Amino acid sequence: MYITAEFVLAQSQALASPEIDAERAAQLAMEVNTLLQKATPLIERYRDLYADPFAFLSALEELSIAQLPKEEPHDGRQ
Amino acid sequence: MMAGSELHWMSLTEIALAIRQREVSVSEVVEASLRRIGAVRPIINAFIDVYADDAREAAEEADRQLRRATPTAPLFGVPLAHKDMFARLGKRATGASKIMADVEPKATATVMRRLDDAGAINVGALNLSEFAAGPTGHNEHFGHCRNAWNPAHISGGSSSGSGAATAAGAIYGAIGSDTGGSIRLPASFNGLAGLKPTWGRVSRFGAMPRAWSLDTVGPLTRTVADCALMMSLVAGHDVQDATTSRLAVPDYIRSLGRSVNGMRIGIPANYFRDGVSDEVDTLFEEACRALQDLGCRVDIIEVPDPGEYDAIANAISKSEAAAIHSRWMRERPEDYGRHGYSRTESGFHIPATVYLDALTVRSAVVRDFVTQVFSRVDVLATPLLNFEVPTIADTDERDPGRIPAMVGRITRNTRPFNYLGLPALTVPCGFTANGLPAGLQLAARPFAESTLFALGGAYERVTPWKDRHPTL
Repeated sequence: MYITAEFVLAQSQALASPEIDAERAAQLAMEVNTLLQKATPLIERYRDLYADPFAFLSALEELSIAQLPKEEPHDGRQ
Repeated sequence: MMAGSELHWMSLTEIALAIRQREVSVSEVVEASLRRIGAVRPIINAFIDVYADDAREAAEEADRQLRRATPTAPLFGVPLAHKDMFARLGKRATGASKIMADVEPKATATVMRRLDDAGAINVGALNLSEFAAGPTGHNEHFGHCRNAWNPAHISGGSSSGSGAATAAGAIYGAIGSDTGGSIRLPASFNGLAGLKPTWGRVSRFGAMPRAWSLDTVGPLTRTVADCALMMSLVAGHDVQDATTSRLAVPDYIRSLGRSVNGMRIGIPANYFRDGVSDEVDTLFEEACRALQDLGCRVDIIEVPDPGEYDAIANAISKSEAAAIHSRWMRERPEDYGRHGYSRTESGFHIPATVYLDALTVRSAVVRDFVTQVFSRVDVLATPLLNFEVPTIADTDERDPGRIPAMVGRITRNTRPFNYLGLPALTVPCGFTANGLPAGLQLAARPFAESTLFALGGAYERVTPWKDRHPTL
């Protein structure tokens, strides 16, 4: 996924989101594209059709009481 | 009668006990606090408003009650003040913005009500980064908040006033909010304890939102014991906040006495110490040795790369902030400061599908992190900030295109725990050559705040940092 500065500018005008100039549109496009580029691998790795985007609290509660396997710390450097 | 300086450097726990035991009256404590506020306010600019008349009236009433019976409320008569973003009937919470001053609260925030019920006296409203959007404490409307140890340096944000006012001895503790580090940064930069609780542990009802999925509310205090005491009063389910957990709240105060002998501490081999300055790393190593001396087993471990979370955390925080601010940013752009506005703008252009993806994978990401890390250790220890606390001038970035990088450097070690929703405590671990405090960050599995208080409290007892105060 990739967005252009022109798209940011056009979207800003069409949706009446905050008014920006071409220079700021270019900055924002770069910021968003960097974010999309970095976010995509993690999203792809964990993508799950049946995951619920609004069940995070349940996940935290479950993890607070889950029996985790007791493992030795890696490599033992101190 | 105790001298003012004796009073304002007492901890919250100590002053509450002194009042209960009638060693000092509430009016004396409140007057000392107001005098101290008057002395430090022009230097650190931590207060947006001071409620002197209300505080004196509440103190007189408290003293009348004190003459009749021994109070049981844990914070009876203790002066507190909070980040000016918590709704309170009859008062305006400005969010340190021009815009929020026009918003009339329809209810009192749950955390404020719980502290009122515990007997605390609210003496003022504290400065913050505009709309809680920024890790430095810059504010173009109310003036920059300044560090209590050196006013040329940043107080940290966004709970900048909460950090500076508590460190300056003007109040005994404060509530802040943390979306990417906003409790831990100002706590650490001002030499305080500060807790970002597990997401869902403390009600956000009545708290001005920055990003609903990441926002947490918690205390900044001069000692870990004070932090545990304040948390014990504000934590727990709230029917007015559906995102609060129904899990029972442990006895945080009791956890302070728990032995940490044998506790497993992990020092991340990757990410958290990348580019750390020699000075900060030396202080961090010394802190780890102190933990070993306490009987903890300290090991270096690999952790899942937190750098990967930054982008998806930003997708969430910027999208949600843009939704919260869209109308005001369209209609009143001139009323925003440079930092708050520019940090929210990109949220309008992040695809909704990416925002939802970032939320959808979150449970699996935290499950992996917790399983991989907390099966091996009980607590993860990191430096809070990898370099010395910077000056206000050095961080007064004027080019909006460069603000994200500056913010990223400051929040590098704090932000991962917001995406993960995990609890993280900062405690002071020394001073760098510029005279500013450094912080040790301790993180644990969900709802394990007790473990953090046990370890943080034990560490604090064997180090001298909590007894040092700024010379304002």
